[in-house]
Formats: sequence, C-alpha cells, structure tokens
Amino acid sequence: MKNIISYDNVEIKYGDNIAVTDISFGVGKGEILGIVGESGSGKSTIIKAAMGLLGEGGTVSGGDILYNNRSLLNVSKKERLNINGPELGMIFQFAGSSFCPVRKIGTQLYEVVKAHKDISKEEFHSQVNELLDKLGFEDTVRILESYPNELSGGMQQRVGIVAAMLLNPKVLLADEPTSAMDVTIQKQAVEEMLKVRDVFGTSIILVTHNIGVVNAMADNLLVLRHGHIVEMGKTDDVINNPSEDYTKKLMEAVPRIKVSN
Amino acid sequence: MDNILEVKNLNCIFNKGRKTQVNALKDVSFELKAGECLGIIGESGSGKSTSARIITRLVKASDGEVVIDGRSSSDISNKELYKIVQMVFQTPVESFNPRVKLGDGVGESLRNNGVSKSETKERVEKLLVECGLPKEYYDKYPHEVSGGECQRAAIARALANEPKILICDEATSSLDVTVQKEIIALLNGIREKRGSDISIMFISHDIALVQQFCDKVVVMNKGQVVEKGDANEIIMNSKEDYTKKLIASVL
Ligand SMILES: Nc1ncnc2c1ncn2[C@@H]1O[C@H](COP(=O)(O)OP(=O)(O)OP(=O)(O)O)[C@@H](O)[C@H]1O
Ligand SMILES: Nc1ncnc2c1ncn2[C@@H]1O[C@H](COP(=O)(O)OP(=O)(O)OP(=O)(O)O)[C@@H](O)[C@H]1O
Ligand SMILES: [Mg+2]
Ligand SMILES: [Mg+2]
Repeated sequence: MKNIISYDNVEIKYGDNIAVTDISFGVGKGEILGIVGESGSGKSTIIKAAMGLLGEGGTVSGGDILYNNRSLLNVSKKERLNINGPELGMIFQFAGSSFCPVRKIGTQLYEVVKAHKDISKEEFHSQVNELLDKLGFEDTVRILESYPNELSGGMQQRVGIVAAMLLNPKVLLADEPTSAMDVTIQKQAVEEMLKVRDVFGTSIILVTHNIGVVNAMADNLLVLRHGHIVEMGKTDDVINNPSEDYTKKLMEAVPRIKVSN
Repeated sequence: MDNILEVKNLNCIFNKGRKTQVNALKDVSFELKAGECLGIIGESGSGKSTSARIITRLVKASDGEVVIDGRSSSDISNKELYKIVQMVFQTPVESFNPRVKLGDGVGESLRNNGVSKSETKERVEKLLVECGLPKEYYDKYPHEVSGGECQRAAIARALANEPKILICDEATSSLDVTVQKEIIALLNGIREKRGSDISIMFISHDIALVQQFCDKVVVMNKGQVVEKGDANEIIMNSKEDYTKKLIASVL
C-alpha cells in the first residue's frame, strides 16, 4: 500500500544530544500505527517532528519525513499553516496547555476552524456539538463557555481531540489522547477515532502507554526504547508474541484486573 | 486504626456568570486511615481533582469540612498543612515553574524548611534517581523533558519532605507500564518503611492498578460518592450499576 506519511532513517537531536535515531516506518491511508515504549524514549519527539513543533534546540539532523511524497522538513511558515490542521492534525500529550488560558474554549475552537474553512457560526456549532456529544459531554454549552482551567483533566483532553478532529485531517497524530479519561469515556474516544478512520480513511499515529487502547485500535505497532525502534509488526503479533526482551517486559508489566480471588 | 484524613460532606459550587452553576461536589465524604492507601476512581469530571484541591487548599469548598489528624483543617496554617500534605498534580508540566530548574523545584520544600543548599541538592539527586531519572536532570528545565519525566520529577517533589499524606492525582498516567511499576514499587517501599506515617490518596483511571495498589476505594460519579469500601470487594463484586459499567469498559 502507498504510504501517506513515512519516516525514512530519521534522526532527531536536541542541541547536541541525539533523542532518536534510525526511525523508519510508513503509514498508509486509513491505517493506524501505534507507538509504545519507555517514558522518555522519543515518542512525542517523533510526532512533533512531522508537525515542525520540536521547539528551539530540536532539529531533524538526519533522514527525511515525507507526507504524500513531499518532505515535511524545511517547510515555509506559510505552507505550515496549510499543513498543520487540515492535513496533519495533532492531539497534544497535555491538551490543557495547548489552549490559550485566557480565552474561552468555544472561541478558540471556532478560530481554529475559521482559519481553514469557510463556515458559518451555525454550522460550526452543529459540528462541534455533535463531536462533544460523542465524546461523552452532557453540557456542551457550558464547555464552550469555559476557560481551559475550568475543565477537568479528562475534559481538556476530550476538547483537544475535538480541536484536532474538527478540521478532519488526513493524518491524525495522537499523543496520549486518552491518558486522562475514565475507561467509559476512553472507550467512546477510541470508537470515535476508529470511526473517522473508517468513514474518512484518516490515518492515525497513536502514541500511548495504554496497551489496551493500542490493542483496540492499531493495525501495526512500533516499540521504542532509548530512541531506537526495538520491534515493529502487526499489533497482534507484537503484543502476543513479542520477540524482544524489552517488549516482553513491557507486556508483562501491564496491570490486569483480577475478577475473582 | 485512626483516620489521618476525613472529608466530611464537602460541597463545591463553581459559579459561572449569573446563569450557570457547576455543582462539582455534592455531599462528598470519605476517610483515609493512617497507613492506608485509598484509591479514588470514577467518571471524568466527577470531582476527584476538586476534592484533592480542596484538601490542599487550592480551591475553597462551598460547604463541609476537612479533618487532618484529628484537627479541623481550618485550624492549620498553610505552612503546617504543606508539611503534612503533598500532592502530585494531574498535569505535571503546569505544576512546575517554567523558569526554575527541575531540581530546584523538587527541592523547594526542603529549602523552605531550612535544609542547607548542599544537603538539598544531595537529597534531590537521590530522589530523582529513586524516581527513575538521572541525577543530571537536576539542571533541566520543565520544557526540556518528556511528559513522563516531568511527572516523575513531580513525584520526587511531593516525596521530598516526607509528607504524612500523599495525594497522587493521576500520578502515573504519563508513564509506561514498566516505569509505572518502578514507581509503585518505590511507593510500596516507602509504605513499608514508614508504616502508619504515610497514607496515600490515589486518584486514577487505571482500575487494575488501583486494585493492585490500594486497600480501599471510593467510586465517584457526577460529584457524588457512589460507593466506597474494600478495593478488591468493590472491583470484583460491586453492587452498583455505575461501578459495574465502569469496570466493564476496561479495554
Ligand atoms: N525540548 C527539549 N530539549 C531537550 N531535551 C528534550 C526536549 N524534549 C524532550 N527532550 C528529551 O528527549 C527525550 C525524548 O523525549 P520525548 O518527549 O520524545 O519522550 P516520550 O517518549 O514522549 O516520553 P513520555 O512517554 O514520557 O512522554 C527525553 O530524554 C527528553 O528528556
Ligand atoms: N475552576 C473551575 N470553575 C468552574 N468549573 C470547574 C472548575 N474546576 C473544576 N470545575 C468543574 O468541576 C467538575 C469536576 O472537575 P474535576 O477536575 O474535579 O474532575 P475529575 O474527577 O478530576 O475529572 P478528570 O478525571 O477528568 O480529571 C467538572 O465539571 C469541571 O468542569
Ligand atoms: Mg511524550
Ligand atoms: Mg482530575
């Protein structure tokens, strides 16, 4: 299958320190790639690089990241505005900090959409309410009227998902999108992400510590440690028949509910 | 065994303009026994963090009382309170001052309690290592580390002055399961060493982890306590529909 986004021998540095090396993978249309691995292994770094969001000292020092066969490195600021959002949508690890603290959620969401689409306030409201509703919000009016710090951790995270999904991106880069959700809401969020994949053919790169979530969503799974790919393959195989010691250790450490004594 | 923490009939109403009110807590009561670990689980937005913020005085309750070690919290000064209670916040990055080195942030409570600069540095480095970070992380700034690394620094900070009550608000949600296991082992080690001198309130969405780590559990939904009791009992044989539904949703 043709890759919509691919990483080709990517190396990323912060200052002089190498954060990740030899990163190569591809994701086709409608495919979901899960990335799991040790905290600090470079998962956020890998997806931020595609968005051009590594921040000051961060640079892609080797290899290339391709989106529809075109390099995502050295993209002009102007081009970025057209890519980030409608082409590549990002759900941030700490969604709360990705919003402006002094403006209402509803205003911020409207601006995001308005910057890329010709849309009336009414259309916007019907879209946003539908999405909020699917992510388990009961009082959507209150949410849109709130400032970020007036929402709970899991609410902020859900609003972060809505912000990315409103633009219907071709590729969704999701960094720990469900880490602050209770399991009921988590299930709804997982279903919603699967649905955009099924309906729109959205490709998803899903970074998560939650093996259950990866198992429910990802076609392929990449295991990262110390900035290297440890193992990559079909999700089922990697979870149930890991070939590397680190992956085995990771799978064994997953806490499981005891149902009886 | 005595209660180190009692939360009695807490109500918390947030007013948003004239029209909207959020009843974040409705008559919430629970208690934490000395030396025990109490898990708090439940719906997103059900008031778990708000309860924790009231105990740590970051939010004012509209009504109700918090009793710490037999004394009404209102009789305890801020300074004394923060010697007794420490909290690991749900969003670690926001809980650090962006312009202060992680190590200095972790050691702040020690410095405030008169520990010398050199001893603080030594103790902080030891804590960082215990929480799975290289001691060189002392000199990093919060935005220069990963989400889970920042969360581990936040755990180190909360442990620094050996609080009697440790409140963990989703304190391991940014950690992979192997690092999470190490942190739980660290906390269990502290519990073994300090016995009834350390009690933990453990807010988490990870029900399996709560079952492993906690003695008791409180289940919350829509600002209310749905049920509370022995962790295994509630997770294995809950009588409440809400809890059953929650447990059935685990992926
Ligand atoms: N802005 C930065 N400056 C310097 N080093 C950084 C910066 N951001 C991240 N790092 C370092 O790069 C490494 C990879 O970080 P990254 O955030 O990609 O990890 P991660 O896999 O997402 O971890 P987590 O699961 O804890 O979020 C870490 O060692 C981190 O300390
Ligand atoms: N400062 C505030 N102003 C207005 N409403 C608030 C404020 N803080 C919290 N709330 C509301 O109180 C309710 C409880 O929030 P809280 O953060 O306690 O939930 P939580 O149980 O911790 O949820 P999560 O699991 O998502 O973190 C939510 O509806 C939230 O929007
Ligand atoms: Mg990360
Ligand atoms: Mg919370």
